Amino acid sequence: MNKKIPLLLFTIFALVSCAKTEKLYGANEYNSPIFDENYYTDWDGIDSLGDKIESKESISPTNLKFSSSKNFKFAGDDTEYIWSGDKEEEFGYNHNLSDIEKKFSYGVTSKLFDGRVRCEGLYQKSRVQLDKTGFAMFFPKQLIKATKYLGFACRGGTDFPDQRFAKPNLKVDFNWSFYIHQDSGKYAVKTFVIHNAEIPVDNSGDTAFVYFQPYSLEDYFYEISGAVGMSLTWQCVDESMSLFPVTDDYTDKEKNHLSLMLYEVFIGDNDSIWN
Amino acid sequence: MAAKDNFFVKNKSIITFLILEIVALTAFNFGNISYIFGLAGAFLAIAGFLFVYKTTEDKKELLWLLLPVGILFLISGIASFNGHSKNFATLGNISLFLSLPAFLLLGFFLRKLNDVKPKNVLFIVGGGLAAITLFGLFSTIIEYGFFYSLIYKSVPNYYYNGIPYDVTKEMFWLSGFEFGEVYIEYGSLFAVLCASFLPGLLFISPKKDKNDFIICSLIGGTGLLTLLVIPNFKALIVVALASSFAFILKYLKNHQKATKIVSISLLSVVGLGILFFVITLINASAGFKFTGFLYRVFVSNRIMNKCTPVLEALFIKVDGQLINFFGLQPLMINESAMLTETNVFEVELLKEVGLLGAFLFIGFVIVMGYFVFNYIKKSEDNDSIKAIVVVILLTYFAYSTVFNSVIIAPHSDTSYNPFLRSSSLLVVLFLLGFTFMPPTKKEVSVNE
Repeated sequence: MNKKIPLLLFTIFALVSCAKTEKLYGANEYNSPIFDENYYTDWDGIDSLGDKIESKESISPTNLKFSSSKNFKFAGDDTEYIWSGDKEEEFGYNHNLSDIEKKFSYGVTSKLFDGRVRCEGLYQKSRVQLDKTGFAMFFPKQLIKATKYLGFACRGGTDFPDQRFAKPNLKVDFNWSFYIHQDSGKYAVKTFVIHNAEIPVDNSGDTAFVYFQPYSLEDYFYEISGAVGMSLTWQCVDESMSLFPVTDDYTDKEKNHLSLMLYEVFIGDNDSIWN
Repeated sequence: MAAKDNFFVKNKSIITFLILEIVALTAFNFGNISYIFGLAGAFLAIAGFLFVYKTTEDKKELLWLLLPVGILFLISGIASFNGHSKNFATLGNISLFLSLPAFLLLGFFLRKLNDVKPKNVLFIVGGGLAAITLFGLFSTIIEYGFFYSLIYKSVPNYYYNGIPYDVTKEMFWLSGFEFGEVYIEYGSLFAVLCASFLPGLLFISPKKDKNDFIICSLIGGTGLLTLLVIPNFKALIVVALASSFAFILKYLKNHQKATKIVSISLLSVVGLGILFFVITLINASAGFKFTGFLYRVFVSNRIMNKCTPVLEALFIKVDGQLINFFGLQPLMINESAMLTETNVFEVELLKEVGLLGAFLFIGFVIVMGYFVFNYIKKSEDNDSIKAIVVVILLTYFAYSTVFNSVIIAPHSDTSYNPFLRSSSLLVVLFLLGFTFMPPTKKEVSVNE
């Protein structure tokens, strides 16, 4: 009996992983009314993974879509989806990852899987604010199979004080990478290079749905099966910057800045499999 | 019909088992499906009442019992059929209507069956409470570690679906069949009730009654450890204050004097509380006329700031009628007045059953308080049982006055669990029924 008690205590201590207290933040961290304080630049250690085999794929213009209109359809699918409307019928709230896998509900990046594709009056609570260096994250589960489409909801955001200034849409290039664990112990990095995606900037909370899909809806993204994490970087297409009295040089404190407001990430449809 | 031929007497072991199982499962608390045990308890209680009525010659005790049962029926009637109840399923409302009086009757019925020793009844109830608390303790340690409410006080936020939540205000808990985050106040109530078993140890000899000592230590220790791991000092203070009753009973040689001291102290506290409650209501009904010091005491302070919106809503008049007299209307439920967590069960009662219902409940507590004092003075139960029962009752009502929790889970908009629908209240009502002792001349019990 006496020997069992220390063993029991040891077991309890060994079980303590403190999952909920692993990453905690101060009251205003990523939730500040000050624009500059909300940049999320965490790469979650994903850039220091060991051996990587990199491959890139440019998303062809025919495959790339961006939509900020009220309704939209996927190619090869007659269903009309509602981008912005009543919460119950919106595409975002019916295809968000946190409803498929509860573990996506935790962490700062949970903002990207909660179904909110627009600000909804929550301001910085609803989005992840990125500078050019982007961000990365490990998924809480491994992606086995992503179906139908990959995409994200985003817009440009500035700290330009004059909100009356009508801002044209911005053309942005994205590098969206998935980190796939391989049997050899190495990681394959599959990067989708997205050119000239057009996104709104500070326009009454409008967002664009930037997505691409295989030609056939029956296909799935076999190239990213086994992904354990992702990263996203972005940069303005050259001519875009000339349209704005802002800079994407964040070291320049004199000028106003441009950032990417990322609202939601969709990795496959609801029948995608995570393990 | 002779008592020994009665169906209940012949099968009393089975019936005792059923009652204890229902109470233990209620104590274990199955979240949204707890009302099933309320319904099951109601059927047993009705049968039990008929049995006691047929087999007891002295009906005076039953007449006394009808007083609290009648009050409970009035309260549960208001709660089940008022505007507030429209937010809940019909079956849940029927369960509420029947279960409040039923659990009081179940306790009384079990005592009359006299098939299990009173200490074992307490241990079974405590076992149910300790089981759910133990699950909570382990899962809380695993998820948060030790002393997390102190360690992470300066950096307390984690994000859930994009919204920051304060980790120091929650713990992990088994709700229904799923573990998840609940507010500390909610989970700690079960721990507090378990810890209330510890004062019983003062009256149990570890040598003579080794088994009882171990069981009581395990139940109480589970509660105490849970409160220490968080740590929840406020809850510990409530347990310590309530436990002082047991110390007085133990170390004051004159039993009568000890009871008198406790009675006077409690009557003073309860009296002051009722006076405060009444003055607050009069001020609210008059449109909050108090200013200066009285304003700070009765209207605007850390506690009253949460209660004042409810009091305001309570006295809303439409065409000269108090529309919320029997509890806040359904419209109010989705507004801030209803969902504001007041942490004060008396004010929650105002939300749930309005002025009449709240005063009926306070009346019920006073009437039962009288019977409990009678139990302490006259019952042949040993002092350990008396101490545990009384400390449980004291901690429950004291804790519910300052830390009552009707919003259980921080992440859910639909985790509203009204005071009158809580399983812990049913357990307390069962204990009140079990210790029910009216001022009759002789003990009435039915044995084979």
